[in-house]
Amino acid sequence: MGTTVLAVKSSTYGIMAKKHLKKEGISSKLIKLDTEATENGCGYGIRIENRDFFRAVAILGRLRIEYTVVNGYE
Amino acid sequence: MVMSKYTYLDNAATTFPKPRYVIKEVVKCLKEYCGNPGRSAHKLSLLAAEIVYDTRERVAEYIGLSTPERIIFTSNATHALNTAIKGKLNHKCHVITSDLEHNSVLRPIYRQMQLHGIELSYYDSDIPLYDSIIPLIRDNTEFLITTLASNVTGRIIDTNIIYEIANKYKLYTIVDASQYLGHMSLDINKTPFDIVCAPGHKSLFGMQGSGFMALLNEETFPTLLEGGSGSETYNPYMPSTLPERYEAGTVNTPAIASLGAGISYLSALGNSFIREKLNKLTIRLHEILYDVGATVYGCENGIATFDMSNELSREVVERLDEKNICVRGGLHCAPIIHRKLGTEEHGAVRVSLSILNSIEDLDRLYFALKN
Repeated sequence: MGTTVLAVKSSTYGIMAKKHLKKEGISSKLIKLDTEATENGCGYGIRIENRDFFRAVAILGRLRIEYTVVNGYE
Repeated sequence: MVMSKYTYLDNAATTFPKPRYVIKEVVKCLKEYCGNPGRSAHKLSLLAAEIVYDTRERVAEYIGLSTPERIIFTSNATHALNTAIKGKLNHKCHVITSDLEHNSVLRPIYRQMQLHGIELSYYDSDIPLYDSIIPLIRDNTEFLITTLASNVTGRIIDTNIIYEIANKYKLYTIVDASQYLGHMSLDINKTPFDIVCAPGHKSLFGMQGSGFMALLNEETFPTLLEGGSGSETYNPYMPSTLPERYEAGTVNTPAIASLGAGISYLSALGNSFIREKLNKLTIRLHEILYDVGATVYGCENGIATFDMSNELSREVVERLDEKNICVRGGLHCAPIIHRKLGTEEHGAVRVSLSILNSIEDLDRLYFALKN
């Protein structure tokens, strides 16, 4: 099973997302993103297992944490 | 409890000593996790970022704010107040403030008056707030900027009434909680002030270099500082995202960690214990000052300002310092209240307590003043 990266606005939102996902039993990793993945050059994202994708985005939506799916980010 | 050879009674300037729990957290930070938060993705950077976020959550919870990202860390209350006042007071309008204000409120307002033609009125803190504030309100009054407790007299301003007036007349509120938080509890849900500014290093028991600005709403007013934000490098402006928008440069991780530990310490003690102890100490302080024949200008909330007859304030301070008793003389960066009290020439002596002070500390003060 692969992973997906969700780009968030800043490290603060990344940590917020990670904490709340963890509470719901979803593990994630906070990573730095480079210009490949972001409009304005460098940012943060959270990497999740694909199997957790829909639950994770639902949680982020509920918390109003904005994210964009970064395709093909390794 | 950290022992000291000093009887420290200058806690309105900064609290000393800090609880052992706070000191331990600072040492732990410096030894174990003090990477640069929000810059890299290595373990130490992320650990530091998590502690910073944890402290945001603790501060938010402490004042009843449900959104930790609206807690902006600053280097002190002055930094927070400058960010708020210079960010918001950027057009011609009328502002109301109090006669108790510290220069950290007054000077940024005066600067904005010079730049934007802002008009300013002061409300009299000795008169009931409805009678002192409402008559000052005009058609172009937009802001009510006030301390919640005086650093000179200890006077506590009724937050409920301030909020009621601001809400009724649609005034934007910026409050200075420097001498309020840590002694009194503030709940943003009951009194939704637009911006709350506070230092971490006074009654919240954090280190010097800590403070915060709490925003009720998500706002993007002009920034005081611009610099690195850890993301959006190609954006020529500070990002609109909170809190990073108002936190240019590396935040003070050890100071923020200390603030988080200080708030945990206070939360463990509980508001009732804190109020009861502070009241007991303040009553004893008032008794002492009365007994030694001091002229007392105010004695409330753990702060008392007074004069001794035939002695200038600086002479009293020097005399007490010889006995390792630390108090502050002079004008306490609060010019208007000293003019009102008639102490503008030589100032007055201020004793300011923390909950780590004891009756024995006050006994030493008593014997030193009596002699």
